[in-house]
Amino acid sequence: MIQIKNITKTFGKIVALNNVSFDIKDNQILALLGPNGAGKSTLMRIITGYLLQDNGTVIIDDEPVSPEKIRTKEIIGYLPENNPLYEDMTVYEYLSFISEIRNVPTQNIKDVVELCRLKDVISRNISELSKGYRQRVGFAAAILHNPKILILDEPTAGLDPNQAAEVRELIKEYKKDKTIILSTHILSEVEEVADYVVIIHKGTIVAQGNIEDLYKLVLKHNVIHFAGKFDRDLTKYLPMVIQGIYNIKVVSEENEITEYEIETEGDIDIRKDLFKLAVKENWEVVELHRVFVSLQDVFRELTSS
Amino acid sequence: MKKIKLDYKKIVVLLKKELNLYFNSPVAYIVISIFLLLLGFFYARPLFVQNYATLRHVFDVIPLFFLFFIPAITMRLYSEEYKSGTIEIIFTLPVKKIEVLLAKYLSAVTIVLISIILTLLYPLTLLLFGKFDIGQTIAGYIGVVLLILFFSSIGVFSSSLTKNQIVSFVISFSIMFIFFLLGKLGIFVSPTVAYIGIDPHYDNFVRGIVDARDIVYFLSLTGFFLYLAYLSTTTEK
Repeated sequence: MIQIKNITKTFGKIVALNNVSFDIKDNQILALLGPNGAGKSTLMRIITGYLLQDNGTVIIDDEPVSPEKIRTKEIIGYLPENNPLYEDMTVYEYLSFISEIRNVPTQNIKDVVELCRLKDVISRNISELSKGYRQRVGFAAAILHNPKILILDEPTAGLDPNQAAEVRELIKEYKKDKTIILSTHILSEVEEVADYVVIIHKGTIVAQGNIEDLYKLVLKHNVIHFAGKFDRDLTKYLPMVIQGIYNIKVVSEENEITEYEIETEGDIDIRKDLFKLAVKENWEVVELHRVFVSLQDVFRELTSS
Repeated sequence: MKKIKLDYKKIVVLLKKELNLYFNSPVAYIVISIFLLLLGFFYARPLFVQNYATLRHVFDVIPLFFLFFIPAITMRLYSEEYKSGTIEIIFTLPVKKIEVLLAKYLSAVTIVLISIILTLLYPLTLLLFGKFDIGQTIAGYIGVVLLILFFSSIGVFSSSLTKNQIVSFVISFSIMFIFFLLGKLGIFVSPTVAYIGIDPHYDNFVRGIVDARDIVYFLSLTGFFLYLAYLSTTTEK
């Protein structure tokens, strides 16, 4: 369990993190979401003990983290932003350096090379590798000691969609019995891998919860699209016959087909009522569907200033 | 001050990594070659032109050469890691910052020592040509080693200040130059000022005198700059 308590961090006059608190449960995949400069990397650097916070504490397994604390560093695997690597080393030299420092058996190198499919490039210089391979080398180094806690700072940034999918696969393969914290801009990635989301904006937490919780934050109204051939103007008629309609407007009119957007209050779902009404009135309906808000809408709503 | 327990095994691993990085890039080879070529000139000239079997000239120019040679070796130690971001990897591994510092420092000392060991060829060949003072030469080499320890500590400190290798070179060159110049010109101000400089101490070794005071001079300044480097790496930039 990782407890983040009242973390504040400033760089000169800039407040990077302002009184940030949340808990990360064991075996959870937590995504840190936020625009560039929101403080995600700073928070990760504090959790790893690379930076020292001005105020507050990070507690991992009942032990506070600090830059000179060796024990917490032993149980954390970390892939920093932009994946820095020793360019002049070969993949093997790099991985064996990390394994010697972390004092783990050489069998671990074999295991991660297999997991990350690095066999073909094992004796190549890191500077010669493609971005996708480099990311896998960074990932391999981060999981070499089989850490309980894995921290990945934008693990798929700058990768093409195939490479990004590969890295996501690696994360999913690795996730068993592990706590993973990852930061990203890619919202589909969050939906794909994360159990819990913390949205940070300008150094403060603006929302946290599992993905369904976040939808509810933004989803104040249900939105339904209803299109067909109607014999009258529904904007006035529907609110009279169906309860709970909050707003209704015409979206488009083409070839006698009119499309309406109907907003209903809260959780009220009027799709069945609309269907029954259409049957009764003998309307030719071509479309009836509920519009879902995407995580992108949630993100934009919460982080647009 | 809190007592810090060092893990020597980790220092060795880190030292191996630093040396690996030196020898995986061409810089070390180029710098060592230039150093040996230039020094060779100062060895060969008195030998062949003036017919002297002496290393005196070599020892005399070594501090001047080190002003350029040692900053060139030490400038990348921290600067490169700051620039490429790998410092974040090192500092999140289970190692102490003092261990990283010592490994980096020792790697630079090792590289310079390797090039000095290569110059041992000079006294060995001198033995073929004629008599020379072996005791004096050994004392001279002790002075050189102390100078390496001192200058490398300035180098590693300068590198810990900046992510720009050129700036790191200039800073360490400047600090070394001040100590160099004080030894040469300080005497015009006062003997005390001159005593801060290198020459009054280094020259003793070159003349064959191993004096504890001179050893203390070099070692205490080395410790001072290593401590500054430690402070610099433990404070955030």
